[in-house]
Amino acid sequence: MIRTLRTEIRRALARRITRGLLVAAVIGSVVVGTIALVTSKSQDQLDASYQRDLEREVEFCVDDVYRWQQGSMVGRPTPDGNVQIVPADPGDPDAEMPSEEERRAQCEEETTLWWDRPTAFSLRDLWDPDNEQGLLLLPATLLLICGLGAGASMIGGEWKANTVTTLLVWEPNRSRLLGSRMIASFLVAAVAAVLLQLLFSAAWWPTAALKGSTSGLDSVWWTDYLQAVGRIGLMTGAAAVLGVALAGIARSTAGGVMAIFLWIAIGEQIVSTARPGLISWLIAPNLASLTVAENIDDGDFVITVADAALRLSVYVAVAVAVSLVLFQRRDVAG
Amino acid sequence: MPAVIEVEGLRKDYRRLRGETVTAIDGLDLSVPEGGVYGFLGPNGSGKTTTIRCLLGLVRPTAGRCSLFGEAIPQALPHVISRIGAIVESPALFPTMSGRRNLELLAAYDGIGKATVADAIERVGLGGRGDDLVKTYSLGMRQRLGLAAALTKDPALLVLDEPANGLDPAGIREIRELLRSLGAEGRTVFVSSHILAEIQQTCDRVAILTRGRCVASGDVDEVIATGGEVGHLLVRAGDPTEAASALHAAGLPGTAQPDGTVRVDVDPDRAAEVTRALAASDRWVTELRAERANLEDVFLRLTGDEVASIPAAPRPPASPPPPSTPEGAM
Repeated sequence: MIRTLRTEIRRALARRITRGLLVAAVIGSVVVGTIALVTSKSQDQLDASYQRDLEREVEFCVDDVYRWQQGSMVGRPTPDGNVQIVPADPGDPDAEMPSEEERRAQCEEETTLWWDRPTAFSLRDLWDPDNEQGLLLLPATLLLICGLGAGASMIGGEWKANTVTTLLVWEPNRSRLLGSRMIASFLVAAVAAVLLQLLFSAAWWPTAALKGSTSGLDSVWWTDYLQAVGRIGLMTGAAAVLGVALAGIARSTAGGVMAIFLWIAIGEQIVSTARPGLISWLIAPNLASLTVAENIDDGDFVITVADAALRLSVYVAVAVAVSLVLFQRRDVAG
Repeated sequence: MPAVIEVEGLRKDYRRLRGETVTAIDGLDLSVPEGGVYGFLGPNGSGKTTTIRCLLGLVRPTAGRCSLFGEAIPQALPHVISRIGAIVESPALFPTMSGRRNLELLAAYDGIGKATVADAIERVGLGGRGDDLVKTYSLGMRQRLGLAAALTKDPALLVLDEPANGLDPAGIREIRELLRSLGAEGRTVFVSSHILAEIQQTCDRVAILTRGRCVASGDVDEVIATGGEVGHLLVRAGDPTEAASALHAAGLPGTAQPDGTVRVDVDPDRAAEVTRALAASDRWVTELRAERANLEDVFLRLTGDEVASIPAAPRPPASPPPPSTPEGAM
């Protein structure tokens, strides 16, 4: 079993799709990091820009109040620095005109309240332990999709190239062969996902170090961040196993991948509309809950993280079992 | 002599979507002794590949039993597979990897190292192209690579389904010599083919399959003898009609042929009687040719109307078949 597993890992790493995805992910991380470094602003730049915008806004605000008093059209400043012309409220002609100092004081107070002071990029933005969200969710989605596709191609590619016959002439124990392949897919996908998330995070480091902040990375943050990385790694591994199982059933990479996407995109929409009571059993909300490690309480349904993990595990296990049984019984006849 | 392959009452039915059943193998019995080259013949659709697939556990028989090295298949296949090298139909390998990489990945299942893979690649004459991508290989090169994969295990039994497919004449000859040398080494080579001349020249024993049943099996010479025909003579001696009459008068059955010869349906060893009979009637022989019965004749007779689907194969030369592997080597 160990030798078969080792061979399957070598096969997985030798596959063109595996190498292609890994190279694309590395290049993508470097590109994202470079773009972030070039386009992001330091705290000083952001502060200066904020101050300029604030002063302009105050000036607009002062004029706005004046025009309101005059019953004319007013130019209402927008946050992006433009001015939107809107009909002014005629106001109360008998109201006493406030002095410019009073208008300015009022405008400064209101504008400061409305406008958040921007902050430069901080590595804490990768993962926010308070609301379990962050930049890490961007690669997480891609990793899950790529894990599913790469896993599906691990067996779908064999059926397409008609190499299943060749494989079985070397390893006729079908359960061992497919089981090893699933474990290999899980390990390769999970480890690759963890490493790629770390690389993605590292790609933001220059931006944080040169233009932002690397402070605030305390033990709580690291623990939460690494938990998120590990969780997404495990989910990517599980997606790869699901891909192997579905493509094994369909005997086609495209068949396996399309089946799950069509189910999530169309099937689950129909079910959630027709039978709202079943929403908590659907893949998409459970996946969302598990990805961010947050309970979902929508009023109509509740999904806890533990429930989501259990349900998704059961779905993968059922697909694996069906795939193993079919592969065991199926005639490989060309 | 112990049997390496034993098949008893093997039956395989395929159920189609429309509900009808197609019988690919219909109660096949087969016993392949250890050592030497065993030919497995049959027209397209006669069940050769399905039999091989049953032997290798790729398809599940509907009825009957198979054994390899005395162990029941498919249950014991994991125990005996390391002693078996096989090609089933055209060898399928990853086109975007090199031939060597493909073989190394396969060999890893059996814990076989790179050196053994390199030796196998050299042995089949692919040494110079081993590092090229498989997608750049010709059909014949893929066939050689499949053979190299089968040889990598240093197997006691080679199961080869149409190994000469796609090979040029020189390649066919190389494979023929390779198979004979493998058989002479004491390995059992079980080879299915359409190319009857090749089988006759390569194999020590044959089985002929038609409609999923074995209709003849044994030593090549024995199987040819079961055809009830040892051959005939073709003679040219002036006017063929008159020559045929003269031969008839001497008790030799002669038939005039459109090419001006007379076909005399007697054992080619009786050529002297023919020349004597013609000389006695003042007819002088200008050409005399012996055409001995061969596997193709027997195959065509035994497989009957199924042969319409068999591709044309080169006819073997009139000379006797080369000596088969000595019994001691089997």
